[in-house]
Amino acid sequence: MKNKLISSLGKTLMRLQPLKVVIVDDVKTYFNEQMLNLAMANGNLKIERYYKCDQNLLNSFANVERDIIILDIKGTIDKNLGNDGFDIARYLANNTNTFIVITSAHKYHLKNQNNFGDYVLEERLLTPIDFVEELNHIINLYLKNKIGFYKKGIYRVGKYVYKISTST
Amino acid sequence: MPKAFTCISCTQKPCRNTSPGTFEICVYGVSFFNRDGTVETKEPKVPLSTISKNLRHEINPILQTIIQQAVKLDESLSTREIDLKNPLSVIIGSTVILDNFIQMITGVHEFHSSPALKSNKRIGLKYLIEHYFTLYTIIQEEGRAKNLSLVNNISDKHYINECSDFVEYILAIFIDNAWKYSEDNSRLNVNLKTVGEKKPKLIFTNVSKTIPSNINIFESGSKVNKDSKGFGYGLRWAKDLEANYNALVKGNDEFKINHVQVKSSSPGFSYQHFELENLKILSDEK
Repeated sequence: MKNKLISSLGKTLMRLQPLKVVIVDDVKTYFNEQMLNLAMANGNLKIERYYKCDQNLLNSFANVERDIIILDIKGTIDKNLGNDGFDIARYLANNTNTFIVITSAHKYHLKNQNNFGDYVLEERLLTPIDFVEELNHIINLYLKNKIGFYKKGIYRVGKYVYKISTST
Repeated sequence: MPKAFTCISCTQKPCRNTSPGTFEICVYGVSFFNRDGTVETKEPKVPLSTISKNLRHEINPILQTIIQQAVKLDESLSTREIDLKNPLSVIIGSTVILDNFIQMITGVHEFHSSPALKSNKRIGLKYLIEHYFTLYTIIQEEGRAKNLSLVNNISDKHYINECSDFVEYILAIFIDNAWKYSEDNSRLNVNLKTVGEKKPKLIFTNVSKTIPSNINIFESGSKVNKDSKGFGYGLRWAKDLEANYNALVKGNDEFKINHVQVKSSSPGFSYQHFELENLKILSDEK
């Protein structure tokens, strides 16, 4: 009973300041609806899913900063914006504080590139449970390495409280 | 009069000596058709690197589609935990094996990994070995070992967190090899041995037919049994991964994969020790 209360408290706090995640991947079977629904089930995440990045979307990334972006490299960018997802990653790295996760179905596309990403998501074959696990790992890295300890305070407290409830 | 043959990779032009109506692939890998004495190349020589670069990118979405559909029937499925009693989990495991195989074909020709971008995810070593052993149990073939059992002496506390994807591929190769070549009803032993001050050595030991001394098992296309189904590239890829690992992991003694064969008491069979020296294995033990 006590753990359930603590767990609910943790989740409520996280829901007050949900993390904003955006995914850009042209293949619908990756990061599909079932995966995103499971990830958002606790309400502590808001996930936007796009299949291509155009100028409007890129402007929106700069004007309304997301916490985390998961970017596929190939086939996700309008030709007038650049060659591939690395161009988006470079832009975001230079203009925002978004945690940049890059991914590709083929490691060749990750070859010999300057690293404008914070994390490489290279496991592409994911079930919804695998995706939630991977996303939790990314969120931990984001909170630990990308932003100051004073940012996302309510979310951090909620996460900590929730963690206590599941470990006791 | 036949057209002048312009294939730049060939000086011998064996295609000119074929009969009209012949469709062949010449010794240089070029497809051609002899149309009434005129040789038409049907396609330029397609390097393996071109094929391999696109292979995973084309097939991976299809594998993910298979996973996506399987998950609609069972939401608890994971690529990280395979339950051999659950047919849907076996389907998931099969896609992972396929993906590994495609990565190997890709990697044998030109390993694709950027110096700036490597996987530094922490993964438990014991879990990794058990996971891949279970995974490769899925493949049931007459030529593979029957009743191979795993003796995993790695502690829960050991883990890797640099180039973890390379290490996964290497472990998968040795475990799949054990399944392919071990004696029936034998064991695959996995141990971590420390000698003095040196870094622990990760050792895979299985029993298989004795390998003739003139065969270099790490050589590309090397096969002990010429009639076996394999291509003989798995261990060659392990060596490529070894070289790439050393290029990417700094401040570490040179990682080496060695093979030692010791004759067993059964005639014609030997213990095969695959030793991974200086692999950066960390431990939570103090």
